[in-house]
Amino acid sequence: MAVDIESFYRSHGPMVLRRCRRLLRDDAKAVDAMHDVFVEILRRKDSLDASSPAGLLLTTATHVCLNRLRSERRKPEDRDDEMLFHIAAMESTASAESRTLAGRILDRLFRGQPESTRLIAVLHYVDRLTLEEVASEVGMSVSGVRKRLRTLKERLPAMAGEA
Amino acid sequence: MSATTERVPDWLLERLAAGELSPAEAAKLRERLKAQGDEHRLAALSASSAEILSALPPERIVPEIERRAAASANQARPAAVRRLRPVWVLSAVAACAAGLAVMLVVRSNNEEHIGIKGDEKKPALRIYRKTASGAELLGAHASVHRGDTLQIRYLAAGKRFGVIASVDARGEVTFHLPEAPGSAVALERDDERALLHAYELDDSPGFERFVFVTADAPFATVEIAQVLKSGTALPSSMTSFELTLKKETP
Repeated sequence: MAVDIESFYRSHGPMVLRRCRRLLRDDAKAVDAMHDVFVEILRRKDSLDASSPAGLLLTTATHVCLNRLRSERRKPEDRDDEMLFHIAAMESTASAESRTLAGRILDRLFRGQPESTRLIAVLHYVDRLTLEEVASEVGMSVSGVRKRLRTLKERLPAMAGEA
Repeated sequence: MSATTERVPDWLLERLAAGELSPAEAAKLRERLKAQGDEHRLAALSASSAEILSALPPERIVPEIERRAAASANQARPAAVRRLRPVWVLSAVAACAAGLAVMLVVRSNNEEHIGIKGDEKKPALRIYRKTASGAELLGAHASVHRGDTLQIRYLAAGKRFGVIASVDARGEVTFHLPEAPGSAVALERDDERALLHAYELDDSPGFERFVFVTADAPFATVEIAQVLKSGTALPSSMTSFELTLKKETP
């Protein structure tokens, strides 16, 4: 898709920054991550679907922030923040690189999970979207989303609840 | 969780404000906002956007995005075989034990280890070598060998962004933080931090020079690669800490 980065930033930059602030909880880090979200958009501009740019940017921002949280070492501020750290620690490959005991345990739990499971987990457990809303956002069936989350729920009691 | 009693998630509110929801979904959300007395949240989003664009205008942000994108594109070439292979992470216990055991301040040719108590904190690196019993802290010009496993730790001392790289006698540059080309990493600013991976030294001869470049503003790894290869000075906005290890051939 053609990307006029200036108009794209004007129309969606603030939304991206709010998303990064929400997940990273640090203004300087959020501004830095916001830059990288747009860099990522530019990098993949030839293969992007332009039908819902806000959804695309929110998703990209979530992935950029999760990747940054994976190397964060600050103490979680609350339960949502702690959950984000857990989700960020999820690996889609077998190359575990966690730096804390909790991270290593979570790594074992989530190793091999498809990448989109991280987004699904954030949307449901942190952003508090219902299963139906998550399904609509990620383009899956409700049963598909439930199945993804059930795997996590069975392995990690702290996540048990709504899924 | 109920769709009608839960606060409308920010994610959906943003999508509603962007006009990306279907008419049915949008109507449902607006009804939910109204029922919860949260209609003001849409207006608050608009106010927030105006405030952000005023504080971070496109003329300030877009050039930096374009600079990073160009730097990323310049470095997006086929990856070479890593000279330093990531292998393990030194445990905090082992690192502490090693730090306590050595506790030296080594100063030579503008190279120094992270200061012990009483020193003014400056950005610095500590490099540990894995041993049979734990780890040892390496000083400037310490001898290292092929197959040695090294763990790098950094102290940001308040600096906000950083890059850690090493260059060998052949001028080949390897990035350790971040591990892939891109932007400098937002540093943990207070305590000493270990990188996610340790590295196994290859058989390149001569030396391995580790460099920790920090700044208070974002920058790109490509800038550091150019400086390391050309030997030119860093921009004045950046500071660097260097530690060279001497590579012994068997």
